[in-house]
Amino acid sequence: MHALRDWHSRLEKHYRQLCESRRAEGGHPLYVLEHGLAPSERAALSADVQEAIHEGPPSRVFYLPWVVYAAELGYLFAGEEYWHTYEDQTPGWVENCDRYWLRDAFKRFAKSYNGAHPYGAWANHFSIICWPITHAILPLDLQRQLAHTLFDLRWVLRIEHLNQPDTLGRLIQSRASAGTSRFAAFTQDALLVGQIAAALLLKDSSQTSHLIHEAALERIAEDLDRERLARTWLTEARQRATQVRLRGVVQGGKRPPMHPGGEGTDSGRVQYQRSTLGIDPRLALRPEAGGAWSVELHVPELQHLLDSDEWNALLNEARCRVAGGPRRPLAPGRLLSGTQRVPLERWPKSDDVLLDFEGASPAIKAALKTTALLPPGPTWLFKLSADGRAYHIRSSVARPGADYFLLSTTPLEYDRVLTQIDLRCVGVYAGRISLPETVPPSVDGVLKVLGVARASSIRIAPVGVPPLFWDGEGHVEWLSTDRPIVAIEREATGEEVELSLTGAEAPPVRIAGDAQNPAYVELPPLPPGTHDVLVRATGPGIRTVIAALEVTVRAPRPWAGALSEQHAVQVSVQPANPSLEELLAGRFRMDVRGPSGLPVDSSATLWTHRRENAIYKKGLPSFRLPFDAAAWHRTFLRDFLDDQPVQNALESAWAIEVQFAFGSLAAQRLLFVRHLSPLRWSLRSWSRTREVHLFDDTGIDGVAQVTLRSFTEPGTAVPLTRVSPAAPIAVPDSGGLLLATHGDDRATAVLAPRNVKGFSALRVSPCLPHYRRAPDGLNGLLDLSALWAEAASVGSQLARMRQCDVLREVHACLVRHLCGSRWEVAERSFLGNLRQPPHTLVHDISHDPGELKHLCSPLEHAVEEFLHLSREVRAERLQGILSQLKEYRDLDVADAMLALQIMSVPERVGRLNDARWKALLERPLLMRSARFLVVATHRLSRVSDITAIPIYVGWN
Amino acid sequence: MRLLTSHVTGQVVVQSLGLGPGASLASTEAIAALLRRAAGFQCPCPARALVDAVHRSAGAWLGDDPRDEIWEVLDRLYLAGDLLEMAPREDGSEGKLVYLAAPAFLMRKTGAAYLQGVVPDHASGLPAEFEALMQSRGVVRFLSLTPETDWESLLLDLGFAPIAREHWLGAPTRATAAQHCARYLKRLQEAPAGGDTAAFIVIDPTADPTFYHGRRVEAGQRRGRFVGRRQVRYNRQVWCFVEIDAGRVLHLCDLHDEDDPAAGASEAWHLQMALDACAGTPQRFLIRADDPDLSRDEVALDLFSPVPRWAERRFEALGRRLPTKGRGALASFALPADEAPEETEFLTDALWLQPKA
Repeated sequence: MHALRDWHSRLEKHYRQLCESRRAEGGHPLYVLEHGLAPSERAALSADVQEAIHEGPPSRVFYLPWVVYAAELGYLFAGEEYWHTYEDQTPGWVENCDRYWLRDAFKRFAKSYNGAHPYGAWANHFSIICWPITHAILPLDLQRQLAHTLFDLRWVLRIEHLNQPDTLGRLIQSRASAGTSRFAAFTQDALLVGQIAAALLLKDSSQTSHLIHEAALERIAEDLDRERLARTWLTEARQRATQVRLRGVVQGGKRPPMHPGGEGTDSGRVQYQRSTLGIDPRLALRPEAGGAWSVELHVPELQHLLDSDEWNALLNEARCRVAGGPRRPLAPGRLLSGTQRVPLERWPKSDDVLLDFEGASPAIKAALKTTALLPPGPTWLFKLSADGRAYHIRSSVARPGADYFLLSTTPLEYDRVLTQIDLRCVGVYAGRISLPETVPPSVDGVLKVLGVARASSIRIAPVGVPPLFWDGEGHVEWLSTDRPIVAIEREATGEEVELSLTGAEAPPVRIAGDAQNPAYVELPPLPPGTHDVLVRATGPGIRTVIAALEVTVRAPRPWAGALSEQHAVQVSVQPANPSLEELLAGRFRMDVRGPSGLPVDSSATLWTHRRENAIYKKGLPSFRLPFDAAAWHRTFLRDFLDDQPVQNALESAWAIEVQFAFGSLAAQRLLFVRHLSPLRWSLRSWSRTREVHLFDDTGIDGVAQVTLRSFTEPGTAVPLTRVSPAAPIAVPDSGGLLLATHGDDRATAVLAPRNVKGFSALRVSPCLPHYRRAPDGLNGLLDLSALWAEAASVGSQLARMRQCDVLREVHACLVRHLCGSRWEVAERSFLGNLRQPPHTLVHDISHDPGELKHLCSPLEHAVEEFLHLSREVRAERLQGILSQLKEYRDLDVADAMLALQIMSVPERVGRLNDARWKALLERPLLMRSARFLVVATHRLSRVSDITAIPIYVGWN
Repeated sequence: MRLLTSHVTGQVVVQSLGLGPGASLASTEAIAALLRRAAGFQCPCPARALVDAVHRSAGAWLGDDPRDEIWEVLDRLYLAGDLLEMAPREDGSEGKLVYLAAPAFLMRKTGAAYLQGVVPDHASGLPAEFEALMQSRGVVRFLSLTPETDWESLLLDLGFAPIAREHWLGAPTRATAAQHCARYLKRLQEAPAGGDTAAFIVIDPTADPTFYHGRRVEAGQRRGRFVGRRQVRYNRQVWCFVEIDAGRVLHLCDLHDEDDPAAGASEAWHLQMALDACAGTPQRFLIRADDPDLSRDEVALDLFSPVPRWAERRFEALGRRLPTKGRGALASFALPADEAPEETEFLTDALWLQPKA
């Protein structure tokens, strides 16, 4: 006890001083890890704490050594079992104290020394261990990810990120999806993340004491230095931060450059917003078969907007409709993965906002209204490029010897200068202009009438390294890391000109009349944004702009090993970093685009923490492109997950790595890291002892409720008794679905029955309690399906087989209520007879011959192609078929989508309100048609896996 | 802003590309870097768009026939595996398009790591510290690495995929000459008979393997199993493996790929190498350092028989083709001297060649 009193007194003095100096330097919160103890002192403190707990409960007064001890263990935390480690290393703790005491100790620290309060959803779920882990500042397993993120973000760093840690924290938060779920949870506390990141970036500048105590920062930096790659990433991020800081000091924190018009004018404001947002869709014409042309809108990748919370949510979660584009909007996240080339079927109106995000705030809508518009018309000039496309030229300037296209919303008069082309876009007229090397005056006159200007005698163009984009006349794009050079070419020498860059402090460059032609000028490093290079004639009293170059600059995009649309094989995964749990449950989407027929080989590896040891590795059967992700997932479950070594070690595994090889063209590694839930099952001992364990890190008072639902009565929950919260739970041999709930958290698992003998015992006939044909009963069925579908199965195929039997029964009950008993009977007969072709079932959709006449053939036809359509198009197709009927003319695509979802994956629908249910209950024809499409598509796919979830093919 | 002379502009561009101060913008290394950069922005696109982009921005520094030069370097980038030209992934009216190859690496026995593929927006996808270790030789880029670091793990962590050494640039799985022969003999025995040998030219296994032209003879009344060519409809020549007996074809197995006629020749020459090795008269190669076209750190490799296309690609990627200059060699390549031991191993293990005395 004396030892702890001494430690407390020393720590109290240290934290008190630190707190006071921190308050004077900006008030950033204090962390326990800033204790300032040397390694030998930390070891001595730990020994004293471990000795003290043997003697009895800890003192409420001398609590500081205890929080230091807990934070030190938090520093070593790697997303696994914190309390296991804590209790193992602290014998006597369980007998003499509890977690709640420790939480109170941390709260007292926070109150006394302006200590950090854990923040974010993760802290809400792990309401006790969030304290020691937050106060560990940057646990070891997150250090590498933070270094990598800072490296990726180095080119978008601005001085305000370094001056305002919360801004930097939000920037890091915006890229959190590239890391593990634990890293994402860590970044929820933007201030903490920003504070430690700024301190790491500015470490060498001696300006970090107001952020993190020097010794704590040194310790983290030393740990980061131990790993080569982390050290490299951090060093390069730091070098960039130093450049940004020096430039910021010189420039006083310059914002992106302004247009000459300034912010005060409308054009200046628009230009400023365009420059800041960097949303600048580009128009292009694309050659089609038979000499026709189509219009495309090239929408740039908008990764750079992710550091705005609002944009982040919108770009990741909202669909985006393109004015004049296809009816089907761009899926969420598409604008984060490379330039999107969207075909325009209709020419947008001048006031159409080109990009319309669903659910955008008024502020974003207002910003888009000024930045995402069609360039001013009524005519638009396009120049033919070497890649076969023609790109819009903002300057509308044409040069001899080049090919152009002119588009106009008013009819054009075609002649030998402007020849008509077949443009597949409604609402616009188009002609082609091929200018000879020498343009006769008569052609000049025609160009003038068409609103096309002839290029001046001075040409300004990018030279040196190829730019990101060059429209051939007046608009160029570079990376912020480039050294941009332009060539100024004069038709005749002798003319003196001056070159200037708007918004730059660099003085203009004069090019004498007898200077070399072309003359080359290197521009200064340009920050992201829009800039103008102007060429003026400099005769006596003359300052006319005779040529101009609009320059757009963006930061290089970080590369994280992904195969983009630019590679021969493109792989996209949603969510960006699915967890191990999402892999097992198939709750992720993987699209592969590449040459048809290309072989796809894959292997899976089960890893211990941070890929230190491979527990088990196995090659999986080969596939060929086009890639069927659902089929691959079924193979993965059957050929890898059900293997005994995997079943034995899965619970303690840190991650599963899947390696794909696409012939000799490309390879891709995907790492599925375990996501730690506050409430989770340990089922390792089930097959041996008939007992399971529950881990509860919710920190909520009281004991978690545990129930079991059998396979035969899956709707009836039977409570399981527990001797104490830590005691194992005995489960009957019949197995079933285990559910633990505590507060808002829940954990599920499906346990296979033990000692099953004979084939007949493999399957089960579940019996459900009565669910009313009313909103409450139907919502009850949705809940039940979600509960059974979300649970991971343990004990191989048998558990999953029975889980699927239960889900089928829940589906059948929903079908009975929504499609009618007669349909249910017909469907059971169809499902029971594999030889029965789908068209026999379609006749049971309606008794009315008139309705059948309209529906049968289109539905049968739709079945043949349904598997290859997206969910949105499927809903559009169903809506289109049913709207042939008078009473379904007002059917919405959203209703069709909902009907298809309830009839295929009710587990993913979520509760509906009374009005939605009423609308569906009144439309049995819609539900039967949707159900027909689901079961008939499944039948046609010939997939006979009875353990697959979702049950029906094509709805994953 | 500063005014530059043409010469200084060229130097600035070379620096921007991360090449050494002595490098020329007209060099293969610089043109390859310019093409990779343009591809990183524009792919997928037609090949001419890349050539045009480089020509437009740097053509003034590339000598008299810049377009031809750029096209040639682009072809070599396909060969080295940085870019791929193929039919569009989606149906469309466009012809072939150039795609980026996925970033990958090959660990060589010299300790160097050869890099392949293109990372958009970046010269290599490596942090600057590692990029500083990168060297270019022709279109090939490699990292000269220190043995104390586990570079393989580092490159894997950075997102580069490993390339199996024996499959580099499309080489088939390795086998012994006997295994290779056995596979084809089985195929031949199962193949049907057919016609006479009037239209057959075969490679004479008894003739001197260092004089290829002297080995090609008419089948005539010969007996035995031969690699050869036969004439088919429309005067087309097809490579084959054939068993003949005095003018009669006992078994015939065509070595032909409709989509890639050059593949048939590669297969035939590889089989002949195996047959020669099994017969105890292996084909030969010569490594020498006495060629005036070689630089100080290069050696010359002479080949006296045609080699499969995938082997040729390898030598071209590692080094460059040399004029044969009447030395009796069918093809010669300049290779980096430090790569010679691993290439000798490749010649003896994958092609079953032996050094010429």
